[in-house]
Amino acid sequence: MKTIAIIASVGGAGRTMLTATLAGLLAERRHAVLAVECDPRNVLTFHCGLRTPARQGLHSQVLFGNDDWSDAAVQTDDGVLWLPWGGARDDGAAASSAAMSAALHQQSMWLRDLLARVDLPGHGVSLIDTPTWPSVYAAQAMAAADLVMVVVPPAPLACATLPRLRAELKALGKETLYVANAVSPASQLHTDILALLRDSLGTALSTYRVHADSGIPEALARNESFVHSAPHSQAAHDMQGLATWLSSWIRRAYQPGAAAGGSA
Amino acid sequence: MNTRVATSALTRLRHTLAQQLGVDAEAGRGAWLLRLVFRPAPPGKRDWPAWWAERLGRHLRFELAVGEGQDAATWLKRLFLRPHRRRVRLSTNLRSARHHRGARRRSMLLGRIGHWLAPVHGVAGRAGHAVSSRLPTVPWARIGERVNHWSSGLDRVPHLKPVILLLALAVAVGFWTTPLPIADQFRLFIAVLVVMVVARRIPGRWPTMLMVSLSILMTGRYMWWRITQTLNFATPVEALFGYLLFAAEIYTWIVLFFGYIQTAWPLNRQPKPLPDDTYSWPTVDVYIPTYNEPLSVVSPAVLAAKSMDWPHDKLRVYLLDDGSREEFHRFANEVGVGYLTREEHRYAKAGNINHALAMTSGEFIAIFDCDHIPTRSFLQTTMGEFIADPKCAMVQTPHHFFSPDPFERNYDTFMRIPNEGSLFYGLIQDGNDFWNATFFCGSCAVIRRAPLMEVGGIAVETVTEDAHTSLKMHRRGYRTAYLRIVQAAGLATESLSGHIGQRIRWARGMAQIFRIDNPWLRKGLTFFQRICYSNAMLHFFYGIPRLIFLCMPCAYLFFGLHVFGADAISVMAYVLPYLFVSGMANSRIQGQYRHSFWAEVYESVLAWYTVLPTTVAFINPKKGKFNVTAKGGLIEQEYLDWATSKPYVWLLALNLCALVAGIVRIFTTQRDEPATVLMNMVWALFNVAMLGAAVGVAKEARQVRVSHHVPLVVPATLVLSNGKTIACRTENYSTGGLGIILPEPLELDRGNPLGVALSRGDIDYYFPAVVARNSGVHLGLKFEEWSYEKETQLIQCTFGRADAWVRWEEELVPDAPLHSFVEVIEMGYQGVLRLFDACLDAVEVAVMRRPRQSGTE
Repeated sequence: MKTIAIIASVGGAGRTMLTATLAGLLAERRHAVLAVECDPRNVLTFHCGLRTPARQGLHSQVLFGNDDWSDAAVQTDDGVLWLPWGGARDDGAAASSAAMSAALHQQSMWLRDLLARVDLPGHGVSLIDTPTWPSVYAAQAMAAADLVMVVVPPAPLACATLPRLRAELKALGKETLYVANAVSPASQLHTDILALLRDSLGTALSTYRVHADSGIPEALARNESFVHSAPHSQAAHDMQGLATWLSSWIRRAYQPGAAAGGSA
Repeated sequence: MNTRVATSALTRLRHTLAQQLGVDAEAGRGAWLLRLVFRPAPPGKRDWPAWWAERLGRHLRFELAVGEGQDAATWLKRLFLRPHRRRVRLSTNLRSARHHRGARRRSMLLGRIGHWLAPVHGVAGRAGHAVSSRLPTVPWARIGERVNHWSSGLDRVPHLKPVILLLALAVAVGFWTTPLPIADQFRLFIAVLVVMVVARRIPGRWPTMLMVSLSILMTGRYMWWRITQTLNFATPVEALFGYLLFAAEIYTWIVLFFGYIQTAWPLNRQPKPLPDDTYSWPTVDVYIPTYNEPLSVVSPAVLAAKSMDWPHDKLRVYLLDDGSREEFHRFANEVGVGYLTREEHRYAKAGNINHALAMTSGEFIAIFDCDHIPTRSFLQTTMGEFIADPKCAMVQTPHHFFSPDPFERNYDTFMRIPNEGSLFYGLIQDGNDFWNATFFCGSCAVIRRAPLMEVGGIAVETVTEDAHTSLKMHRRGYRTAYLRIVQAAGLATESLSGHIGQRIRWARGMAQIFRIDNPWLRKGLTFFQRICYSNAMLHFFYGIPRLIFLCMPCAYLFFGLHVFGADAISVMAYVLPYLFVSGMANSRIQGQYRHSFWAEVYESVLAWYTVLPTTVAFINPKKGKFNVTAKGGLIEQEYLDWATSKPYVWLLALNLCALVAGIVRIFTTQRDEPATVLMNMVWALFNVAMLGAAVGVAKEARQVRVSHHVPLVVPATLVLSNGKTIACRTENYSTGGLGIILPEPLELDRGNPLGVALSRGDIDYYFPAVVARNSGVHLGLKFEEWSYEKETQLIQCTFGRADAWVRWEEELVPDAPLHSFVEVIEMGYQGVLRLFDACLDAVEVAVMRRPRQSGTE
């Protein structure tokens, strides 16, 4: 099984949307997919059709060491397993949040060990959704990941925070894929930032840039899958392309012999 | 009171009768009539009379166009006065027929016959499959490799090659001149045929050589027999026709042998790398000569030339406007290219370029016709050759056309059957390159300035200045190179008359060169260069031989002249092997670049028109003027180009009459030699097919587009005004507009604003536009704020892409001789039907005095 962490250095980059969409698209490509939410916002399950925030989830495992997190997982029709963060009914939010951070800080390999206990087939994949980097949650996901997918919106702040993230990923020795999201070809700023990114990131920047599409939030509001409700949109095409790339990456990495880690 | 009684009596009578006859009392007249004659069927049996009556009624109603329930008066009227209805056309609409058949490579004729023979074919196919699956498979590819291995081993032995060639010549002379009884000649044919069939399966060049050698052997044998045995004529008239035919055959032999030499070993040259240091790259002037073409045709070429990848200070683009148009001057200034024009317009394009040569100073000159759009990689691909070889004077790349030529359009063979040009640019130029005899073709080429100035600039003595210029450079000992990589593409001529005009110019020019600068008479060329050049020129003299072949069966069928002094059996014994074996060898050599028998169609169309110009130019090379090829026309309505097709209609009529005469002859005067009559009739029938195809081409298919819409398929992104995106494909391009194929119909009205993004590599270019038309999935866009900068970006994303045309060869389908024979015959058949339709149209117009209706729906 391979683990892919989806992180971003700015908020609103589209991490959760990409995690949820790619989970569905990879399942269509015959991978066993587990979408894990390592984010106390607890919103991932909105993207898979649930209308209320999940109660159970990973958070109890961190705080109390419970092993009921496997019951918290839900499965959708397309075969994707969704493992939410949970904690919707939690009252002492502030206190538990501090405790959570402390606990996660102490056991830096917590998520990695947890995922190691999940029995997915060789070409299976778990996708980890995270809050904005830097945070303990994102650090956990990065430590667990075989491939880090950095979502970069074409915004000045994203460019400004990117060097530090790159340095950290390099220090960790993680294989990294940068994906530009919500790119509007009509915007000169976007075009220029993309050129800048291409220049500095080189081949690490995915050729699949996901175009901005107003249909994405609309689909979420209607509780629909965007790629299925608007299959002809460019954004759906881009994400299909991205999913195909990831699928072939997973299969390549799984090949016995070639599995000796990616080139960072 | 009385009437009531009468009515009720009548009703009662009617009911009784109905019961007796077995009719429903309320049934119509038809049923009563039927039952008066036929008795109703017993229960459980089918009522055949009723069934037939119903079918007859339906058929009559259809034929007489009488509606359901119309009265007897209408029937009566329609019996004598037919309503006007559109005549059914006999020829099929090939485009829609192909559409229905899908992309399958099946012919219609073959499909129909195959349908009848399906059971037989199935059994035979299954049996064949069963047998072949038992047989061991032959590793053809490995055999090819092994042959290559042996040959390279043999090649290392010194002096072996000349010895082998001399021995081969001795054997060949023996083979050609040994007389054999007829039966043995047939046996020889079969033996050679078996070898050919086996060799065909082995890939590689040596099996090709084997096939060519066998073809030379069989042709030589035929020639020997033809010269020694068949030139005996009874009367002077027969001798006259006989020697005419013989002369035409000599021409085909020469062209066949020269062609074999020319295409013996296509060089398949690859681009050479340029030095890393761009400062050492030479300066290049790009010339784009124009005369009367509209700016919308020229501007893409200029903008693409400007965007070629080359150091900016070393690339200068010049627009050579021979029309001295103010609009062009403004355009050149606006986009920042040089504008050159001249006072007097002598020597057309050649003069235009020579004038520019004096005004510019670049070390190299790249020349593009004003409608050839180069890709960005053009210079980087071609210039390496000059740096690697200082004696290299010119590099030529193929001319590629992204729109169908008249043949392709009118017969719907675009991208399916290689066109006339693909043989030249796919094979002949590559073969020439092996002998260092690549011709300059006037466009898509780079020339070194020094050698060009040495020969006095572009040649002005002939109307094909391009080939003549390269001939002069070869004579000075310079080398030329050909890269079979499409690096530019343009528009094909639109109408058949324009196409023919262009070929006439080439033919005339080649005949001029043959007269005033014959490659055999002047010093400086190698033997094989002479052969390549003379074959190129001889090719354009095909007019007279072709016409002789088209008329010759008539000599026997009309007048009983024996133009071939041999009986039918020995003709078959010698002619068939020669035709079969050389046909197979040519099919192997030409492969995907020319399908068998299509050359005959192309030549048949052009033959008549090239006869006069070549003859005139041959007698007096000074006569003849330059006619510019018209491009970017528009054909609003389907029509038959009567003026162009007139000679073929006559020839067709002649051959059809000959067929009738043959039938008469076989039953009356020539009962003693039916084989000869039949053979001549088969020949005439073949001519009918060729001429039918030639006439059919003249039926100009309608072109739907209004201006220069260039077909163009690249991925694009639509950005709608509500922020949604659509992934789609472009369909065609015209200045300031773009046609889009949508994945699904969209609710868009005329004038709605939206944006379209095209990508060049990783970069998106965005073009704001409004909807110009929207029908189904076809969307027409008109760009807003259109500027030359935007147009440049668009060209860069589309025609300028380095990979824009890399796949052109992959799209060509390999030749299958039998299949293309059937296809050509079918085209001929369709052509005759088209002619028939057009005749009826013409008669209808003349009789009815009504304006011609636009073609089929």
